[in-house]
Amino acid sequence: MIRVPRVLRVRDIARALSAIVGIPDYENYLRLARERQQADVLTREQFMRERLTARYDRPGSRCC
Amino acid sequence: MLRSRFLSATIWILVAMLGAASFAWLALSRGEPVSAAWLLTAALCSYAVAYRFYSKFIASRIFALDAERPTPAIRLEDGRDYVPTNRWIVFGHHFAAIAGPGPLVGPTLAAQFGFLPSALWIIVGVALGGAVQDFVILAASTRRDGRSLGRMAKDEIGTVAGFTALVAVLGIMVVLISVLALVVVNALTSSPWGTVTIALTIPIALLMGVYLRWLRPGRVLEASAIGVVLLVLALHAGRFVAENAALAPTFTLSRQTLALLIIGYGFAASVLPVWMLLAPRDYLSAFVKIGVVIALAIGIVVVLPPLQMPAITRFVDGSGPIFAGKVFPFAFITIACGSVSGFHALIASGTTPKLLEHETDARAVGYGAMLMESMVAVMALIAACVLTPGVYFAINAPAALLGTTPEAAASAVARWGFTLDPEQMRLLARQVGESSLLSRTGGAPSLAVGMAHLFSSALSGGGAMALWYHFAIMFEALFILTTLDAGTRVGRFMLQDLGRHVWEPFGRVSWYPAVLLSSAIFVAMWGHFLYQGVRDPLGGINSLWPLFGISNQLLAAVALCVGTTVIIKMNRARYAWVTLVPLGWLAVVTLTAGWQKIASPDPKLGFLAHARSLAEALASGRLPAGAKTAAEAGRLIFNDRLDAGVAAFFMIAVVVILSASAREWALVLRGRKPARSTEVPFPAHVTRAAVAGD
Repeated sequence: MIRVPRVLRVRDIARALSAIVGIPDYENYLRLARERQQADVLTREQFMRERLTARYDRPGSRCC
Repeated sequence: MLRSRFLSATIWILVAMLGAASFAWLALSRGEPVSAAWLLTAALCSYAVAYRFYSKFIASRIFALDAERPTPAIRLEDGRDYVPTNRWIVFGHHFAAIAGPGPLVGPTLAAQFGFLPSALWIIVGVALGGAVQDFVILAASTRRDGRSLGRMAKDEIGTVAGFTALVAVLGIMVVLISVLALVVVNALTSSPWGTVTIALTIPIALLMGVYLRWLRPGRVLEASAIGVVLLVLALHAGRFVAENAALAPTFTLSRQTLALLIIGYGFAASVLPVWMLLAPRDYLSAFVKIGVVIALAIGIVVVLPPLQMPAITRFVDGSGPIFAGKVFPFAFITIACGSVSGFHALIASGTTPKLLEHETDARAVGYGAMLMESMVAVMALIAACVLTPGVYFAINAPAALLGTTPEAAASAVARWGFTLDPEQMRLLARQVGESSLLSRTGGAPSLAVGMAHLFSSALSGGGAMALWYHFAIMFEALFILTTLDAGTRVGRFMLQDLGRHVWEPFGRVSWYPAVLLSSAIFVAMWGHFLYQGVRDPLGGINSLWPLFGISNQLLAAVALCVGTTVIIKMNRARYAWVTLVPLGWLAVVTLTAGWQKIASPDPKLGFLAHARSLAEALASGRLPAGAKTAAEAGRLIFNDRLDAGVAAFFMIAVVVILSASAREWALVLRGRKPARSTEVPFPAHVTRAAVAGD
């Protein structure tokens, strides 16, 4: 069996690209929330909305 | 062991010698065009040596970065702001955030001095200034839970410095947005193809927004892929309109109309919810940006074009047609992004420090990503210098100096000592699908012609040139408009934050009247400068780009003051020269440039002298050039005085920050004040494992 090198997997590339343009990672948030047994875990939609608002309210998000 | 050290030393000596030889070749070239390969080699060798030795020195001697010391991402991990992330992904993220249109526009404008002054400043400036600033601020912020630059200025230097930094950022946003919008106006004037393509990016972004909100929430990669396909269609739609005699006149717009449209767009974009327009446009432009930077690099490496521009032109004496002023100080403020950009300090103290998994990653991310942005600036410089000087000046000089026909332009260019064939200019315009390429000041069009030249000779025959040209225009306009949207929004929040001290309801971010009012005020602020730039007989870029450069370097001075204070308070004062040297240089450059822009007796350079010459013309009963009525001349005079006021404001801010910092340094160094660090302490016994387990 040929093993695909880790870097070449489409899913990983997609994840890396998303992280580079600053798309929040819901799976990671969920994993962490479950690990810590948080009471109020956001749904995917709530999480995306909350992150989007946070992204554009400070001058550190974009440059000249 | 000894052998491998010897080998490594030999390799590094060879790299350094190769870099030095390339610089020498560039500097000694006279007459014959030099290959861009020399410029690339000089840059790459310098970056390699600077990264290997200087950034290591800063990492180990000053900060003593320690991979074991838990970063904010580890200690405060919450899956939202604080997320430990792989070093190369943080690198990509940081690079995508710092690289905007700045490193493309500045070097293109500064090419009027020849390629050598710009190349030297980009390469030396980044190694000793820009990359140092980004790295030091990133490391300092990482040790302070990812605090912002303004907060660090307040904590480390004092309240006055913190407040000055805040007001300075607001001022910079206004100037930045107006000058970038002016670049877009210059690129789209009387260009139905460009106008239609850019206008179509708005519905494309809206469509992506709807897709992401309702159809497939959160699937950004899918939406961006659709967006990219639609952008290509928009490019062809633009050509269709431009070639259609019935439709083309509707989209052939004047500078004034375009400016008003952009102002209206900016207002709408800042009051709409972010998911609708801003976020999808932001994702799209990030992908297009990364793609184009890679494509430009490949294009340059494959073609290795000769640089047609001389190493140094006669315009170093200050008589340049694109912007007035001598090579010192104006080359050093015209190119900010690419060598030293204060704006980066906001990003290095924003999202990035909250993502670093190991403290030691700050070296590759802070110093390394800035070297990469510098490389983008070098590529933009190459793209501008592959044009023959005649064509370059015809595209970039304002109409007041050039005239409006290719023949007039040819004789103007001949007076400046270069040659331009009017027929060649017509042919070039036809090849890129435009009616004229004259006086499209601002960098975007000459970069687009340069890129079209590179890509069409690398990838296919001459027929594709028009598509490549408009692709390049679209790509620059795309991320200029993203900066405009995001900047207007942030500016609105900052205004609301300041204004709530005066009138409390003004600060409510979700109260619609306050949102509309604050947006309107902020848009009016940059809109005024944009409209002034559009009406300016000297072309607008001449007055606005230097103001932007001064303000950006002012912010760099703030960042370097914070950096120096941090270094002194870490008891590393003997290494404070690392930030003091670039700080001293920037202080000299910004204050000299600011003073000359205000007080130079040359009306082309000094704002007040220009206002005086207008007033004298009016007093003697003549209408000055560029004004059709006395009222209009009055407005020009007012604008000159306003610009002088803005320059003075930035100069005062530099002096305030410098003196507040110097006072703090003296107190600490003389032992009058304890060197109290605001770093999060790192007790030696707390290991990464212990933190992760709690």
